[in-house]
Amino acid sequence: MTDETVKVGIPTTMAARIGREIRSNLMAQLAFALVAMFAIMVVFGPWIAPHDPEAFALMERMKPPAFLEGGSWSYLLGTDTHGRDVLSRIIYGARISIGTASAGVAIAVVIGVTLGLIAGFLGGIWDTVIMRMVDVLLSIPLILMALLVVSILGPTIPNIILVLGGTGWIWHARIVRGNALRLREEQFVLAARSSGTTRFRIMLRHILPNLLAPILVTASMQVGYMVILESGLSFFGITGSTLSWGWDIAFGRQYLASAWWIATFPGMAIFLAVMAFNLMGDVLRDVADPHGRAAMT
Amino acid sequence: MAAYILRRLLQAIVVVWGAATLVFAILHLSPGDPAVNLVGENATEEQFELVRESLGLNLPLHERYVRYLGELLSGDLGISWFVGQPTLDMLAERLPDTIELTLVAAIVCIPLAILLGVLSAVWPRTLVDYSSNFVALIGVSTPNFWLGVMLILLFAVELRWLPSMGRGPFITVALGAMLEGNFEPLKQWASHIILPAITLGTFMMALVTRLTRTDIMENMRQPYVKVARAKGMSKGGVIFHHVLPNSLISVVTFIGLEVGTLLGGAIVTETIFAWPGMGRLMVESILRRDYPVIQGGVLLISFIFVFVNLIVDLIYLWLDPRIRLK
Repeated sequence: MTDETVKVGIPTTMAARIGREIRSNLMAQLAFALVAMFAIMVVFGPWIAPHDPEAFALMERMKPPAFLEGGSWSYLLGTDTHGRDVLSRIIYGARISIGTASAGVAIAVVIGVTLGLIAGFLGGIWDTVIMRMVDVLLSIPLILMALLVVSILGPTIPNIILVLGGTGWIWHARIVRGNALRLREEQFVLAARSSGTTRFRIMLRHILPNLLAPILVTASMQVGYMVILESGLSFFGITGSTLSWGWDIAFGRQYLASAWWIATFPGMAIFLAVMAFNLMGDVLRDVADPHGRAAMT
Repeated sequence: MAAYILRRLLQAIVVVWGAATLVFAILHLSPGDPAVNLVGENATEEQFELVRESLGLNLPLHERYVRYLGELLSGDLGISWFVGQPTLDMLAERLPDTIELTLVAAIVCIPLAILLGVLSAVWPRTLVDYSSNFVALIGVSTPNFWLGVMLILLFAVELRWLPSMGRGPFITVALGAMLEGNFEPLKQWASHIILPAITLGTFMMALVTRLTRTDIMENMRQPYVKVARAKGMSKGGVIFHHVLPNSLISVVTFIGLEVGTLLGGAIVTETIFAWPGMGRLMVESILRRDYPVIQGGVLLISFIFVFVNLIVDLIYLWLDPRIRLK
């Protein structure tokens, strides 16, 4: 292959390929625009929210969204039965819902990657024990497990993060194990072993870097899934904060006939957030593994 | 082959035992005394001790665990602390409603998902493909509890076409009446089950659509497709006679693995629509800390999951010689 063919081919660094994807692919543009929007809501929420999300305003109760008759531009998406601004609650809720989900995913990645590497690379009894643990967690629906643990330990945000991470790790463990099994037989690992590299070092320096792409893809999709799970818990009233999207849906559900917007808009926020992280996962997968070689699920 | 079946069976038992141990550990290692919940904050020390003793909560942890496993082995799931009924009876009473709802959701959604998946794999990068991908993307991104609330808003509150909660007669009753020429019970049944079934099935539909599409596209690249095309078979014929049966194997495995997702979805759906199934019983029991019912319910759900997957694996053994011969 000459230098010239390399230049006109696919850009080599991951960042460059993502850049190319964003310039050329409409779905990628949508994904990153939505993720950026939610990132801004999480980081700058208090500065961009038009109102205090918890302030009661008795004169402004049940105002419809601005585009309906009786709405006002001051309350773009309307107000709830206590006069709280729906838009501001959504902006603040992003912090709780996406923040909790991301923290849970971070823990899941750390546990899952560690156990997956051990199972895939060391094999034997380690593999058996870890994979049976995965089977046990797989056999109990996540929402049931989460409801049980959080309601027994107490509904606080750290407990919710703990249960999201403590159950979500099985996704990463399975993918890392599958890929580690595949990579274990590769030439470069055999070469490292025969030159006397320790197994720990091989896992850390040779196998792990090859797994970054599938881990990133799974983590991105898992954030979306965890947002649904966190909102689901809040929907059941098991929540560390009443500023969560799921809690707003449960609250608004009682006023469907008179003020549909209270439950509708927070749900759209969840929908858009989950879609954004799913699309981002898709884009990352296409970028990292255009031929579909690695096991991603 | 007998050795394989035995090994899978043993694995299944280990997993169910693991689930039983996990739920026991969560309930009994967590801080706080469940007896307080039962007798109330103002009970005397004596009443409190009496309750602890009668429930076996005064025993050391390992004795409680051994006793729990012993009871499980003899098929005894204990007695509900709140209702006073045997846990097994309570679960058995609610289980048919959950199975009914789950099956209807699967029957409504899976054929549609396979159709969408096939269409988009046959015409990739066309309007058909993009639309079906878009439907699947909406499906995976919509939280089921919100979907349920929105369906109620549209069909029960605004249009007033369908009831927002509860259930009609059981399917067997409705079908029986239909045979006698009375269609009213069947209409009642359908009008109550349709919204919960859509709520429960949408997520699954989206996942299966995506999987079917990927799997068919993968199979289309296999040599056997080239051979079939080379001998003059039409594209449609190849897909329906060769590719689809192969892809259905992965789809069925996947559905087996997602039985947990369906049962989890049932917990949410039953709560929204006041469907009197096992999911709602679990939520109620968790909220009032009814330990025997929680333990029994989790065990039953784990058991269903493990054995559905075991049966799926055994069916392959019979269907697919490649697996049988390995």
